[in-house]
Amino acid sequence: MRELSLLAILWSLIILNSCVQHADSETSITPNQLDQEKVSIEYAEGFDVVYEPNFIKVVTQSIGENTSFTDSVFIILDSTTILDESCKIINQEEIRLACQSSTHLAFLNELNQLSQVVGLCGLEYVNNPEISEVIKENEVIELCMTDQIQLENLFQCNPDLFLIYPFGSSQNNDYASKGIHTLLIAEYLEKSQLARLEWIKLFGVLTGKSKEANAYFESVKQAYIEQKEATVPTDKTFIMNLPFQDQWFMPSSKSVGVELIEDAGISYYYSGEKGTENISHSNEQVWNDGVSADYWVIIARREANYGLADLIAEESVYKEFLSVQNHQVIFCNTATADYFSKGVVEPHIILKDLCYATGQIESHTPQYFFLLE
Amino acid sequence: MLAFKQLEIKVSGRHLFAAENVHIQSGIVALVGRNGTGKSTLLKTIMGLNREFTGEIKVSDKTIQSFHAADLAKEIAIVYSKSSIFGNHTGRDVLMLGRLPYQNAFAKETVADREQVEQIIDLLQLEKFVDQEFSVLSDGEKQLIMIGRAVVQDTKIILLDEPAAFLDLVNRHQLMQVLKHIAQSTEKLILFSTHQVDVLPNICKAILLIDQGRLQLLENPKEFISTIYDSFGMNKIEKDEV
Amino acid sequence: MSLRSDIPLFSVLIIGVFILFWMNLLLGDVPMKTADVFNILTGGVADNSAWSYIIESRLNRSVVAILAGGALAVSGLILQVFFRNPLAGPGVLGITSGASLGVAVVILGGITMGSFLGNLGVIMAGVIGAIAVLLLLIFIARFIKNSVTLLVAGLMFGYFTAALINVLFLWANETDTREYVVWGLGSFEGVNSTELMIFALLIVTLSLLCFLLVKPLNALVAGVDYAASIGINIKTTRLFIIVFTGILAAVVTVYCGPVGFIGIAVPQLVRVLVKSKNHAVIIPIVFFAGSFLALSADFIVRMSSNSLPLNTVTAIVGAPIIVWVIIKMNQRNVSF
Repeated sequence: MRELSLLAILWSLIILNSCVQHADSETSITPNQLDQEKVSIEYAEGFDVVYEPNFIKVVTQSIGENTSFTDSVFIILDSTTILDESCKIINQEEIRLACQSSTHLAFLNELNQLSQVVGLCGLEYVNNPEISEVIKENEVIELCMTDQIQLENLFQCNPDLFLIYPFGSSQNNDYASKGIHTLLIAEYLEKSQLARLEWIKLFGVLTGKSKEANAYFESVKQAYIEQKEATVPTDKTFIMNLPFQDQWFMPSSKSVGVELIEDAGISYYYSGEKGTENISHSNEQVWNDGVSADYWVIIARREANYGLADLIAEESVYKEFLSVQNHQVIFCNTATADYFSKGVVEPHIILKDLCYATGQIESHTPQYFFLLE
Repeated sequence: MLAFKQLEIKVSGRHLFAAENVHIQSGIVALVGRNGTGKSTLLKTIMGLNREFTGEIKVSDKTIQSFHAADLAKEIAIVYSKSSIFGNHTGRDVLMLGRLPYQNAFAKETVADREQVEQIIDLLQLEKFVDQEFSVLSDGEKQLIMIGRAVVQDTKIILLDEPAAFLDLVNRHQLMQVLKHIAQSTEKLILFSTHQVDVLPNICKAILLIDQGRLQLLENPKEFISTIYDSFGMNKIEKDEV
Repeated sequence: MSLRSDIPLFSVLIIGVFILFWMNLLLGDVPMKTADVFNILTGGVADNSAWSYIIESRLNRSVVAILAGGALAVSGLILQVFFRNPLAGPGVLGITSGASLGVAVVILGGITMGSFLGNLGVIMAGVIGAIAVLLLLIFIARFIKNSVTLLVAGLMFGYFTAALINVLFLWANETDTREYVVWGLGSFEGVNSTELMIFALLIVTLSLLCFLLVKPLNALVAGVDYAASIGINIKTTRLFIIVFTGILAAVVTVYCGPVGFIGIAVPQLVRVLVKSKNHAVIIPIVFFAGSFLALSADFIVRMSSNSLPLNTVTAIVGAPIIVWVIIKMNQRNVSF
């Protein structure tokens, strides 16, 4: 594994060097681009922005040992700079973006750059009304049919840059040979909520909104840290989610989601279990534990007015759960709340929701998580 | 024992053959006719499996329609030219199938059932291979077991649909001896269809001949061959060849 | 052969089912003392209020496994004799697929399995789907005498219905699709006590009705022509076989999802082991052998904390049995 990542780094260095060929003529840098605020990375490990005199290089890379990749795009500041043909060059001004994930939209939306999006995978899964309205207005093209990228649709929307996941079929497609620039985005691999949020800076650089991105990140960071520091740790525990058939898949104790909930002052029932993979338990194990866990955090798709009674109707043993008996089931209905997308750029609000649910703060209007009644 | 009255048999609405008044008593009777004349159809009709006929077929003086399927199985048994068993049944298991019409809903074997099977094993001298698995027996042995099964069924009539079709010369000979032996030791009517007419005068007391849409009973063994050859137009061919 | 020679086999199976049943009750991810389990079973209260639910769930899924395994095996036995093919079974012939299509239409149409009416609807749809496929098969069987070809036709039904279900996915919403996918994985888990009553009633009644087929099945080993000659009413027999095997396979499929291999492997294995050729003896032995295999498979699933899908386990156990029987049959020059 280590050799592989070393190789990858070496390889990217070679690419970097081979890319840059300075023209002999004098440089002509537009004032607008020079004024641009720079971004610096505080938490995120999955991307980097390298500022050179004539261009900006945006690098994305894998985090952890499960995947291994590096990818980069170049933003030219000096029109006379000549880069190697293999380099992916983009223009900040009028960039046409295609996205494989609706999470990307949340970042762009926060920067008011949604209009740059021309194609998206899974239009019907966008449940944020604000975003879906813009999408409809801009006639954004659907890129996917049952998880497969539809090449014809991709060509039709002709993006300058296609933001893709580093897994699955999107990786195997040889987009370069088809004249489509891609950038691997793996913001979900970040190890903390703030690191994940920091990716807004990458979107800022891509769309020339570094300043706005910096400002947004700083304000959310402040709010988040403030709330976290105000939180009084308790010895209350929580379990998570609902079973898939007769198995419960719960995030690993190291996961970003769990960390966020723990920042609200309660601790994960399975925090003793090591590993970065999901925890999987049988029904009876979780039933056994549910009786003693104080809180139950559920992120699921259910009808709009889903309540505690509906939860018990799913499995009668739930009425024995301590969390159910004490009305301490913290629920996020992904059918109505845009947890997976907008939630990524609003960790401070999610944290407040959780703190409100666990009684840490007195007044707050929950947006993602609320106590089931 | 078996009687046809004003019988007309059809297949898919097409006239096959007719018989006016035929009455057959016990003993060995051969059913002869060229391919497609309706030998198998006649046997099926007697079994009650073909309803496309007019006139009467009587078994023990009762029309076959008046029998319940389970009761007719106590009157008539049949042996087909080829048989296979699904499962690892021994010859003895197959013989026991002949007792099925007499058993209760759970097919409980009685002592009498077992005695009957033993008796037939003795009668047809099946001891040598009766306890081997049916599927590994030779075609000749299989056919002897199936004939034994028909005898175990304890019916007045045994029908055989070209029983020797897949047998070699020696096995054919043996089969005929067995049929003769059964006829001599029981009071059954044994009606078998065949294409091998040369040996019939030595075996049969009568022949049912289907030709040109007509079923007739030949009862004089001396005239068997010549009548059959005549009606098939064979004598003319032989003369031409000479 | 006398009945007595099969008593050891029958006893071994009954004892095996009994032992597995208790192992399934006593062992699990949540360790409990035998005394606690007995206490709960006799109506007592445990320290942990979830334990009585855990025991109920262990009990229910064990009973479901016993009944479902038995039903699939008996259904497979009858189909194998009827089609005179050791590879026949509710799965291979596409009967399970027919039931799946019925279930898919109902679930993907938005009716959940939770409600009683929903339940009844799914059962009806499953049964209709299963019987429709059986009728089609029997219709086709009139034109195809070669039973291997018939199996290929059954497999094609399977592919066809799977394709139809994929088309249905296009119109279904995410929740319904997930519900169907979960169901399709197959499991003896998740049948609650009320559902279990209906399930048990249907399976037990139909399995007992299968004894009406004892004489026909005994006769059918020699083929339809011989069976008819020993007084078996082929039309009635065919009707009973369609209805009984169709409903048995469909009910199991509706409650447990499409469970593979038990329906083929168990009758094959029993036919090799059993001495009697009387289906009055073979049917109960096949039933309990099916129960035994299903319980063993479920036990393995549970010991893996439910992480191994049921169909993976039945395939691992069942497929080698099937191959072994085929090899054995070829050695003895038995043609299908």
